Amino acid sequence: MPDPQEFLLLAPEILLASAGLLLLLVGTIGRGLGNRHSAVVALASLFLTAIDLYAVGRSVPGSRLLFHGTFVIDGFALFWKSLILIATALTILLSIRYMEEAGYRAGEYYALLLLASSGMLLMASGYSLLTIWIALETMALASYILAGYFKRHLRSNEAALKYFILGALSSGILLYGISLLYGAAGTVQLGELARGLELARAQGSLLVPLGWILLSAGLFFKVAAVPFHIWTPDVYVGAPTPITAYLAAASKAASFAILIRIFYEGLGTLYGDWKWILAGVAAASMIWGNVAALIQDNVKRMLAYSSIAHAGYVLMGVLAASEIGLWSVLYYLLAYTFITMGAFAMVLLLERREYAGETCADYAGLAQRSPFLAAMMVIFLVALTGIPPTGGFFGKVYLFAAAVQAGWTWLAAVGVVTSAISLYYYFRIVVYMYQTDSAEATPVPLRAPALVTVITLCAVATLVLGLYPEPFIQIAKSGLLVVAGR
Amino acid sequence: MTSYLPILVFTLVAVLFLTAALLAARLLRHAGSASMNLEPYECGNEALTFAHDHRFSIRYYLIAVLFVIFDVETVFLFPWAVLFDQLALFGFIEMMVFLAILVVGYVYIWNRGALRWV
Repeated sequence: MPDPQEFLLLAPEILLASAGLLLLLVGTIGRGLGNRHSAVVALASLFLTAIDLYAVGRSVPGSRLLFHGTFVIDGFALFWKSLILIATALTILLSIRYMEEAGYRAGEYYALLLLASSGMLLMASGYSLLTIWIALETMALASYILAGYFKRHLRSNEAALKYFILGALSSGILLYGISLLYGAAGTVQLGELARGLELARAQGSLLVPLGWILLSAGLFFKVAAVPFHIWTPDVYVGAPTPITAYLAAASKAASFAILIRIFYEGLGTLYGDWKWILAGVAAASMIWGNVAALIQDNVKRMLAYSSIAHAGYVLMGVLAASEIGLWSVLYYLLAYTFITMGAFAMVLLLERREYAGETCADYAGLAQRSPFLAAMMVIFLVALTGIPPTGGFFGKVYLFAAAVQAGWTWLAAVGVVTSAISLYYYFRIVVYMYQTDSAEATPVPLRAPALVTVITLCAVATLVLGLYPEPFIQIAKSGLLVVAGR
Repeated sequence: MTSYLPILVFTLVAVLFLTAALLAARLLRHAGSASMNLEPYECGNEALTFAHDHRFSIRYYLIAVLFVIFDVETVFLFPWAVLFDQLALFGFIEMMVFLAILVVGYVYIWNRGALRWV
């Protein structure tokens, strides 16, 4: 029997999952809690989880393995968990008005969000390939349903079906890779796996390369990196917009958490083998994501390709496998969470009935209709491009610096060139907002206080991350992992 | 790797057998009228209507999915019952937590009316 204290350290996850189940249950009794009340309950449980997480962080100073080494609590896990909680809270704030107008049952919606987030928290702490896989599935299953939550909208159905079929396939591939690695190393626990794989590799076992290639294919799918990105645009465009933001921020962060942990701690001894694959995927993601975004007319679709490109930048930092590489990845994803949440919140605010308000042309003349919103959008677009004084700039600078320091100069060059390309499609929207006249001259009403709060909050965070990066770099540095490979 | 040899042999035999059986059937079978073969039921009775003229209730699929969930529950319950002595109190609590989560799902589908037939 495990030590009861270990369950206390798992309390944030238990709390969040229980809150999700409770919401699910209460939502079906009578007419349910209603949209606003469900959202408040969900936010309150997130807040309690955050407090609990803080307590856990205080009680575990270094790192600690739990449950026979299947679960770990360290700075790295705590960093991602905090990030996931922030992203989930922002998603809920984005959802309130949206769900009210959409007219679907709200109880399940927030319950599923909480359940998906509890899966993400478990992902961040998973230390055995199987624990990680189960946690990943917890997140993925809830996300499939959320993507198709608007069941009377065709595009939402399409998104859910594509996401589900491709997601299930990639989970299968991931699991197959895990089973092959288990066959080679005789363990799924990451720490032992690294040693076991080194031995098996020395004996020339074929299972090792086959296993890690399949495993990484599954991981690349989850972070939406080329060539496993095909689902991204369709799912992002079809899913309810708050869910799109959630997938782009929280789901991506949690997937990067497991990708980094698996590559560094589980496959760390094989660095020499996987670095070329990772470099290729990073370069392909940066190039294809940015080039394909050039011709998109739908803003959600454009942001989907941009998220593919950003996965490429982040993979570059992972590839550097150095201290600066790792903390710049953490810093970048911290900034990216706020930037992407803010950008999608803008899309949400302009969206009207069904899917109107999603094309670039809908941004025409926004500067006259609402100078405040136009300015906020400029901040997010500038940050996505990576121009100072925003968090996106420092994130990119550190990532490129890490890549150059680790000897990947050509990759950093690809990153710089493709960033320059991205300037075109981000600033196309700025041009629309400031240079084009709108068909309608009515000002955009700031009728959703939660939405405007999120936009302002994200914009402020983006600027603060760019103007005073130092404290945030310290936070990112608290989440360092020991890199086994170098 | 040698321990996997029987699997390889088995796969080869399976492939060979299938090919041989299909080839033999092709050579031996009567090249008779095709129209009869295309009927849904080759029992001599003429079909009255087409299959897709009738609608099946979507509930069949829902019930099937729900059945799978609770079937999996029993799969977990069975080994737990066999090893109940050794798992002791901790195992009991774990199983109750597992059942509680499933009960939440059960109450949910009940309240949402997925079990209502008419």
